Amino acid sequence: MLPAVLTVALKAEFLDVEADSLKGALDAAYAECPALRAALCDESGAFREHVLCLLETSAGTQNTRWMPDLERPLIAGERIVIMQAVSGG
Amino acid sequence: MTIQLFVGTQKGAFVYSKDDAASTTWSIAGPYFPGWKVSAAALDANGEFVVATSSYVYGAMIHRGKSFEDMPGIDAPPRYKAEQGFKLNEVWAIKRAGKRLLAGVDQAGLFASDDQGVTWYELDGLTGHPTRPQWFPGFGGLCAHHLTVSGDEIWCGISAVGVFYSADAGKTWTSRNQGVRVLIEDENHKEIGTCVHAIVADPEDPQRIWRQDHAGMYRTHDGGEEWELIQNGLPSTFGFPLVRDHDANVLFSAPLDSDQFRYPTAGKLAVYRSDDDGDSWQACRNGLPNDSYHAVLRQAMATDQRGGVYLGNAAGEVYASNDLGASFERLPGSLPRILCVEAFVTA
Repeated sequence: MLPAVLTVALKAEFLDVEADSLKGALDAAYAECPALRAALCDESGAFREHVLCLLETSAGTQNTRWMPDLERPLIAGERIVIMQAVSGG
Repeated sequence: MTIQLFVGTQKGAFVYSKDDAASTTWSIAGPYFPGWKVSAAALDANGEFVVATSSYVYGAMIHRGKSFEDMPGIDAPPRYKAEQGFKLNEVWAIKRAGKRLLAGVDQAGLFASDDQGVTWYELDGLTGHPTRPQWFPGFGGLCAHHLTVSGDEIWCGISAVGVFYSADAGKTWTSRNQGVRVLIEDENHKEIGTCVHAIVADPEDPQRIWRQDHAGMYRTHDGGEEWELIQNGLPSTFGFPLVRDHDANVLFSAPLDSDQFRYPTAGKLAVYRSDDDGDSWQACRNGLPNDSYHAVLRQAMATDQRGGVYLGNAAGEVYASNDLGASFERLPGSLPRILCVEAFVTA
């Protein structure tokens, strides 16, 4: 799921993808909407500084920044949520 | 004939339209690209729009299409290679050069597209220039913000660095700042350290270029080999936008009080017009506010080559003239901070 500001710019809101891992799901989303990679990732390929990527699971929501990598296996129905990690003016 | 006035703001774009040059009845549409900084727009060789947006969170994006309602971001907007160590924060200028499109960006560099903006590649001779390690950003960033083009010749204005010239379509570059006052002198590279704010060339004689610089208003007759000051009548040497009606041979600038205060002198918003190639300048104030302390930013003034002169200020106010600046009217709407104004005339 993408924030509204990306939805209007990329004309994509929800992307349903099939993948075995978090990284695989992101790659599949990038394949479906290539502009998404440019929007979320910097020149190094890492998430931009103020991009927040959350994984919603049955056990709760996890911040992918706190994971050792993005190779975590996915379970059907889990949802990746992109948010802007920006507060203040 | 339709005139579309594209107004890019800090939080989206708005488009004013009217059906003929003489009309004063405008409609307004938008916001398009809501939430995004909209910094540049151009028409490609096929008559489709190319728009540059950027986001503090999501970086720089390019959009293409016939209609502003339906312009998703392209798959691969310009970006530097990871190993270069540069960041591409924003596209400041999009310039059509024949069938090619050029994009000047922050951090300063130049990208080109040979397919109407679908894909982009860097003209890396500019970032490969030997002075590049000594470039550093000014108040507005380290941005390549103005381009003029004639065949294979390109002039590129970079804030806090100067004007660079290429005779070979962007492969190799030399500095063209002789005669312009250096603001921050480099220990070794004496050819940089000027701070160009805008350049505009005469399409009939592309070696004639006018330059609003941090250090004053300048003109060259030889493609920038030598620059001369042309400030007779200007209230200040400082300002940002500089545009020209090429049919009428008239220049327009919007001076600010100084680089320290950065608002219209005494709060009187004025366009300054030159009918003699910059030898002298006269104030155009009819219809402009005399109690305004908001700047007209670098890209926020345009002409339509039919007598139209347009400007937007940092307060989100848009002013239009259809008589080469003799009188202005305020267009409806109070918009976010205005970053760029472009006039598009279509049949």
